[in-house]
Amino acid sequence: MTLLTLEHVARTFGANTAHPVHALRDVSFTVDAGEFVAIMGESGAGKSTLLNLLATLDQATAGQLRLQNQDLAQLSAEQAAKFRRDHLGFVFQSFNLLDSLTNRDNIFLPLVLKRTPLATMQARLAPLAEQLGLQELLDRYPQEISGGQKQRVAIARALITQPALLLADEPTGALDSNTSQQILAIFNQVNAQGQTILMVTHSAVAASYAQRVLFVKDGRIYHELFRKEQSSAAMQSQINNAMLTLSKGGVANDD
Amino acid sequence: MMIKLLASLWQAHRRIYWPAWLATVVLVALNYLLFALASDPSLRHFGFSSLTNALLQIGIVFIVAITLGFLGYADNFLAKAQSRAFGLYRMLGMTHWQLGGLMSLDRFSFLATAGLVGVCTGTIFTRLAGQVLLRLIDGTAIHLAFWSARGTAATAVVLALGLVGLIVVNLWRLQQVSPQALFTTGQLEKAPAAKTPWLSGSLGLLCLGLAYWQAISVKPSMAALVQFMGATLLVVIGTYLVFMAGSILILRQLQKWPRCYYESPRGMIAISGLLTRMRANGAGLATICLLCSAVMVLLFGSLSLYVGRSRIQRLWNPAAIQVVTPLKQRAQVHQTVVQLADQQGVAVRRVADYSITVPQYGKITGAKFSTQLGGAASNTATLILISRQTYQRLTHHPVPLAANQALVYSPGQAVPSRLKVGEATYHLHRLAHFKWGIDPTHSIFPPIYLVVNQLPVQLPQLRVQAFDYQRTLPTTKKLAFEQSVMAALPMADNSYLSMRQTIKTFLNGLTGGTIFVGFLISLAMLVTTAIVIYFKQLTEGMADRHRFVTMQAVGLTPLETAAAIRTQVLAVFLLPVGGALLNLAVAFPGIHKILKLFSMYDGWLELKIAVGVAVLLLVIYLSVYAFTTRLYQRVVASGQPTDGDVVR
Repeated sequence: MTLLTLEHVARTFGANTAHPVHALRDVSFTVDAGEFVAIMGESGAGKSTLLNLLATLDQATAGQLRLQNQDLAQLSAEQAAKFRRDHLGFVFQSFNLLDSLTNRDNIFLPLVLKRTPLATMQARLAPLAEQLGLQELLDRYPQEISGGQKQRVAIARALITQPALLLADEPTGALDSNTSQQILAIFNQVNAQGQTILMVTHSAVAASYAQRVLFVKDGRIYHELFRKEQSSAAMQSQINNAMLTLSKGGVANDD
Repeated sequence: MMIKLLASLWQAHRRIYWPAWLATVVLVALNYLLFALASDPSLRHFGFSSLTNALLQIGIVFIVAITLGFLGYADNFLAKAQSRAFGLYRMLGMTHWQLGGLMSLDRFSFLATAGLVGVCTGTIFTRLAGQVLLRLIDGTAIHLAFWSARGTAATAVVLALGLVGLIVVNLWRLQQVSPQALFTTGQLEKAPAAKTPWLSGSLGLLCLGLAYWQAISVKPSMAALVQFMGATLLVVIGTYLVFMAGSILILRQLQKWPRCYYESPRGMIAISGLLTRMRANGAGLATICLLCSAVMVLLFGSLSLYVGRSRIQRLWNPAAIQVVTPLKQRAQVHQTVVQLADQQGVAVRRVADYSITVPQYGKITGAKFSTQLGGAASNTATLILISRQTYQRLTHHPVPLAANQALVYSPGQAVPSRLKVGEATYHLHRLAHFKWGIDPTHSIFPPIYLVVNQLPVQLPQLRVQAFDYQRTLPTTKKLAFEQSVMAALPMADNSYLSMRQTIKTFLNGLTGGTIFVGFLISLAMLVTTAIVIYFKQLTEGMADRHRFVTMQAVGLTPLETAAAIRTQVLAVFLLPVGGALLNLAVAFPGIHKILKLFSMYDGWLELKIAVGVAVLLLVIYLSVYAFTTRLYQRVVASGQPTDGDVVR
């Protein structure tokens, strides 16, 4: 079942100026429910612009984005915020946990915004905390825990709303390789439970955990790789090759 | 190159530099103004000018202290804001001494320009201020110089002191930290304290409670001032502890209340934000609260004295001259006054001539007046008795009184319906007005007049003679005549003199000088308060920017964001002014009792002044609040994703 559809999406900054910047041009792809998709590309390729459009933090200048049949272009700022808290979960590179809240309250935050009863929040937190190994960390503050632990708290915050789509922006960018692997394993684990994930990353290792990798260059989708039954190592090798080809200016063949 | 770097610092941190610079200009102008007035010779040549000058000197002490305190406070913000740039300069190879030189040049240019503009501003306003002071103290003409060299020099000394202090502190700061730390200072966020500060929070609440109790229970006695000072000290300690720890205590309890904390986004955002903020900024908010309290108390006290001065004059001097002496000197007094009047062409006439008992100082406990021997600190009243016949003669009102009955006139305090004085017990009937119900000694204890059938034989008596002369005489002639009377009369034990014009000149000097200096100090404190509020909003806006961006990313809507900001900012900035209003409300009874020491008994008038002052401060405070809240919202909004942020 298709969860997300992008049709001919474009985003231009400074359209009315002498030097408009075309961050995205004619981007089209779909994501099925339960998929784990990675988006790769060099800096300035347009990955984050794409993520911001999907996160309803920005509006496309052309084309259509639909998530669960909702046209994202039709949302006002107020509706977009409500849509985000109802349908989307976010994991950021710099965790974006609030220092003024305990880890428990950080996880509760999106549910508090939805005015969810405390009992429901607690019922949802218990299995998540167990799965992510957070039981001992809940009453501490973000400054008192490690980067990997922070990212696990951030994942719990993203998942507690049971979102249709989990958006991750360089989720391992600020972590060492061991911790990165733990976080990516968690992503695989929740994906196996049916969670749809769309992850933007620079890292071939991180992308190799995804079922499908989209390569973005100069604001366009240039290439697509499917993992299928391949091992992580084989997938990683394919990603590296694709990135090399892209950096040389060529277009790799679809798998 | 240094100039370019300086210019870039000013440009980069203009939101801190310019308001701080403007406030410094105002404070420098106030310094100059007071120094110029205090050093001007024309302010030393009229009655009680030494009193006015003493008040100006007190004003100088306060204004200089406020100025130096403000410079230190503003510099702290500047230093934090500049730390990234300074860290970068160090990393790029600037030596410690070069950095110190740049910082010193920066502070010097800041103070030099503010000093120059401040002295010019002060010069413009000094003559106007001099005329206002003249009117307030009802003085004779003054001729202030256009520019005061002494005022300028003294102001320059204050600024030089400030500059040296700032340079020393900043050199020490630069010495203490590594370039990396300099580079990151101001970016570190602190988590709310893990432990609830039960001890300091409870201690703060206890201090405030004790202070409030002291202020409310203060009695109009010699001990009142000391007790009030003690209460003030406790309020200062208590306010700091309550804002820094007590608020955390309360917020932690609110956090444990799910209905308040988890069931509304606003509750969670406001409480968690306040928790972080009170730990970091509790002292700043306490400072705002205390500055507002000080402004209100100062304006209330000085305005009450100023407005009430004519009432004090009437109370102290129903006639132009009152002479109280032992009975045997009665004729001599009359003769001396008439002779002097004749010599100076003053038309004098005796308007009252009667006996009173020697004033007794003591206190009323239950239904008994007891005189205090060696316990003056607990005295609260001056008891004077006059006979029924005297009262009838003075007022032309016949009053039938039984032996155990008395009329009582007590403008400064309530008295019971029955009072035992010595061996006699009187049933009292209150008098609303008694023109001659004066305390000839002008003591700080409110007078209680008892009109009785027979004066007790054991109490010695004094003779009161009151004289009037033509009111149209010039002030200088009135003063000259009164001073000649003062010099000529033989003043033995139990002799008291009270001269209307002399008293009036003294009170005008005291109250006019007090209100003038009080206003200038209040202005300095208001400017400081406004800047403290401004800096708080600015720094907190910057700190909250990231918080609100994150919350919006996880679904906080723009409307909810605006509401959350309003709630949070309102809570934070209403706390200090709320605390200040509470302080004023509690200080009111204490100040009322202290004003009684100056024979100010009109509580209703004082209440009106207190309300007026509170309303004035609220208006000013809310204006600053509205302006700075817009700034806060702009700072927070500047963290929203923009076209420039999204391409990566």
